[in-house]
Amino acid sequence: MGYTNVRHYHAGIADWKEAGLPIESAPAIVEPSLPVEPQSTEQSSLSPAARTRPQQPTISRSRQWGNALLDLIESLSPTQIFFVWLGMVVLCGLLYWLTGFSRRPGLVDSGRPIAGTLDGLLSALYFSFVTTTSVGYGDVLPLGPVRILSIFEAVTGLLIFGALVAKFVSRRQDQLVRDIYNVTFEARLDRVQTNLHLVLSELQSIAMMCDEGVTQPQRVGVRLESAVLVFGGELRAIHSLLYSPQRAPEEAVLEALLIALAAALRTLSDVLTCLPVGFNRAPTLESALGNIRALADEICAECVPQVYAPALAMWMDRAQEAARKIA
Amino acid sequence: MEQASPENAGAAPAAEVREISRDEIKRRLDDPALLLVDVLPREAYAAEHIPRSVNLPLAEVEQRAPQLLPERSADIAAYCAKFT
Repeated sequence: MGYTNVRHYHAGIADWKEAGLPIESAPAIVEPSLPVEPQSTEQSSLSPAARTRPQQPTISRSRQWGNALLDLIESLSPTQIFFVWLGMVVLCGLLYWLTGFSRRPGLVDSGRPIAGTLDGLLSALYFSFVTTTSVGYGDVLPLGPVRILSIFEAVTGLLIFGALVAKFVSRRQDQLVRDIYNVTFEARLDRVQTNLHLVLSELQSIAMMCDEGVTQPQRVGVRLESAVLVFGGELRAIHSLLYSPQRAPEEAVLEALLIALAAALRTLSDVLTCLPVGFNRAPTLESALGNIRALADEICAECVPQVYAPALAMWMDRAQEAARKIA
Repeated sequence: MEQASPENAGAAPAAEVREISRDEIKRRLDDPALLLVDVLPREAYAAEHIPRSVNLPLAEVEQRAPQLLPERSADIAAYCAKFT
């Protein structure tokens, strides 16, 4: 994957413990696993060092408020936002109108104060709309404390309107991103299935060669190696599908995948037991087999994070069972 | 990945990944330039891991390595339970 300076600590953690060196235990840092599903991931660009550091709970209060407001806007639909805006306009209009009942009306229309009448209500609502849309014809004017309220209304109105527009724009974008994701997902699923069947048929023909007595172990070795390498890749895809089902495939599709997987694993273990004793396994083959064992061992009804239908669970268990026989 | 030809099948593993010794890890335990990566599954990592190491289960390497280890030239030491 392009890493240039990776070194392996072969003896592993077992050796580390034996030497009496310190060990830490902590729940794994849970992070979103699979790629894609578009969401804001503020932290993804942080370095690993920054990641492991515990999150400090000292986000400033204003930031919290800002986030809460954004979350609120996020959770509202465009219609809801529109009604919030409308409600605010009407409410402010009513407040303006109510000042008409006092001795100092807050609005004047061409020099005449607006009173608490039906006409006055209409004028007050009209003023409210003119203010919040920042049109400001200037025929109706606020006085005294009402000025403060009208400025507040203008600012809030603009903000809500901006949120509404942003909502429409991002809605379209989200839709597009989701469509693209779905298309790639389907395509990938198809490819996994096809490859799995190819691997299966290749393994079966190797098994046949093997049953007839291997005459050319070298050729068998090469074929087996490439089949196993492809198999490993596809198994990884299935594994991540089961472990981070951001978008679960249809049950039938998943079942077909698992059936093919179990069959391939079984055939693989047959092939391996049938190979002659003197057959030398290349290191690449050996490590690919190790990967397959490790990945398939984590595919079973109990170990996957989700509960699946009994048929699927059974195939998962079969896959694990077959994988354990791979020697 | 090097495709091992049948001729050298069974020879020592290709030395594409160099080894790091326990002593070196121990010595550089406080050195932020060395990134320790635990490739064991989450549960194993939760139970025990070398201090300061991050968890990157083998199964998720392809997906998450770019996120977790953005620097391609970083000094990385990977370990599992015991290399087989």
